[in-house]
Amino acid sequence: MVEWLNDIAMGLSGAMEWGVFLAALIGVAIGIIIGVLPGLGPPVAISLAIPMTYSLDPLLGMAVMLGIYKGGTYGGSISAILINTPGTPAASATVIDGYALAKQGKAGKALDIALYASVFGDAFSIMLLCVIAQPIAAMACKFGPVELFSLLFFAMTIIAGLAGKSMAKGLISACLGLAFCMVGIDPVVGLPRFTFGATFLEAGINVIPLIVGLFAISEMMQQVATGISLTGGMNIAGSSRNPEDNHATLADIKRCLPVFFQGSCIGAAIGALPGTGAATAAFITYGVAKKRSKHPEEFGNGALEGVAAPEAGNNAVCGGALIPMLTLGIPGDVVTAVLMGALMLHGINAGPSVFTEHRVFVFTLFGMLLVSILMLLLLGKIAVRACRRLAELPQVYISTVVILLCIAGTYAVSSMISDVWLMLLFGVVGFALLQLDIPLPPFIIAFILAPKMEQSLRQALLISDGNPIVMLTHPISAFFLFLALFAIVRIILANKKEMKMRQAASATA
Amino acid sequence: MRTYYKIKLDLWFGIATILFSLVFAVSILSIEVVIQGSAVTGRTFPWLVACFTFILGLSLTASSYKELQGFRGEPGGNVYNKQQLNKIALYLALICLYVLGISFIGYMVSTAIFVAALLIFFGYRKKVIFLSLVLLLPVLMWYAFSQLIEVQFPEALLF
Repeated sequence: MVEWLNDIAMGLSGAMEWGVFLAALIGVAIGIIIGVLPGLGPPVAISLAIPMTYSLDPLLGMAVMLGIYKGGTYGGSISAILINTPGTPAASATVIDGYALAKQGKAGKALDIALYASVFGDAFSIMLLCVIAQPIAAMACKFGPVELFSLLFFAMTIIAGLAGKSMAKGLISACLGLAFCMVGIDPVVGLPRFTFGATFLEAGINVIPLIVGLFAISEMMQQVATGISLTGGMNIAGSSRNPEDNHATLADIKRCLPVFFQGSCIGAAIGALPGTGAATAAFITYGVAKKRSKHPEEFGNGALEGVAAPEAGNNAVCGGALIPMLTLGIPGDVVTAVLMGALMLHGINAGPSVFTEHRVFVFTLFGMLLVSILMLLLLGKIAVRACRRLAELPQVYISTVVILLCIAGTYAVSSMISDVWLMLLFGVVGFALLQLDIPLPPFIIAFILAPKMEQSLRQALLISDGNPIVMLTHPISAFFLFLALFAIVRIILANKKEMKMRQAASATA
Repeated sequence: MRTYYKIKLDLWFGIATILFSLVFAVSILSIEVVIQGSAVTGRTFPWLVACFTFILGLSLTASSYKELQGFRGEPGGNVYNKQQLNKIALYLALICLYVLGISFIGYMVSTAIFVAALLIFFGYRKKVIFLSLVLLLPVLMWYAFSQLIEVQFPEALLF
């Protein structure tokens, strides 16, 4: 306990160093702006930030990216409340009651509650991360290759199963990610494979062109297809003459406090579960809050709890998703997968060993996350006033700058134009997969987890002289495989039920 | 509610997945086995992935085929029409030309041309802002990447 407190204190003092502090502050500010702008979300922003921060110290780079993650998750609520357009998918549930409140002239009140709920959810999950991460990592350190492979297999099954509507499609997406990751040098024997004679592929496929292509380029292509707005003509919902409607009162906060807590608990738990994400958390917390409310009829017509619950939930996902990433090396959602890729580029492998190999780094990150809670509160207060006009910015400016950043940013990582071509290729692949309703998160998460998965499988089979039964004779491994099997059966049964319902509906149509 | 078109797309994607897994499996054979007779080689994991992909492709194809039989719902259609797809193709062509431009003409000049082309493509008409963007964005981008994070852009004909 004393050692833990010392580590946290060390982390806090590290986070107060001006470089880290400034980086986090810039990250949170950029994140809020990105969150406010509809169409751009934390995954795109962070994937663009990786090449921009590549030359910086890993700690500074992570401070910027984690700041964007937190700020971006909150920022989406501003445009959701003001212009009825969620800046990020995570803010989709906030629209329902947030915009209804804004139409009643209570935009200020809704924005305040969204901010307090976000800060509460964020603080709750970060504290949870600080408390439980190290014990989980210590336990995971005892895992051998057999257990690690089964754990990764289980995580990938869950991610693929929950990411889209069809488990088969999710798993195919994961398999594609695994296949693309194998291009390059064999990690064990050091010989090239799947390079087909192309020398630029011998170093393997860089994670940056893949992420930027799959997220940013495919998103840009979709925007081009649907039409880029040249003017910002959306109506901003107004304010009221009654000063009480323009900010949240102490009574409002008191009323929403149980919802803050409930949303934070659910959000952190969902965040820690691989493959879900902030949007799911927001809708679940909204549903739970409505169910437990004494006045469920107010939901949808401007209930403050309807803003508080999803905002506490989606922001609590940030800290929750970092738990499996830092302790087990398994990303909880797309953003943490991108963050894990960024860490890999800096030579830091997220997982249980990170607490021993990069102790100062991890605790400084914790310190930075704790300090950035206050940054979110402060910058959020400013953003509520300043971002009203930003939410109206025409898409044409954003799209032009984003595509320039994608190309220059991807080139910046390796100074190779071939990476830019790869990025474009993955952009087209991503766009095609989206049209086929193939979820992209399993692709990226599998791409990032593949080396660890292959290495642990090969080690496990070498230990057992090629006998795969070893996966079942180790109790922890057998437990994870059983869980994976259970999850597969549950998801398949649910899908079958849905398909039968669809067939019945089509038969009656 | 899934449409006939969507299910048909799934069927084709399932077939494409099967073909991908087969091509992938064939290319596994080109991986050199360093230690002959060893139970675990560089081919082990790729084999596993290829088999798994094949099974999944087969399952998707079969389930989509089954769903198509006797389907009486809406026929549906492509999410994007031909005009929108042409727009995407033109957008990609512009990007490809820009990337080629960076290699052969130079970063600043090709960025200025690309920004102008992109704004025209989007239908932007405000002259003053148009000119400001064409002139300022290349300089800002070049300064941010070349000077602040010291990226060496390819040496080309012009600047």
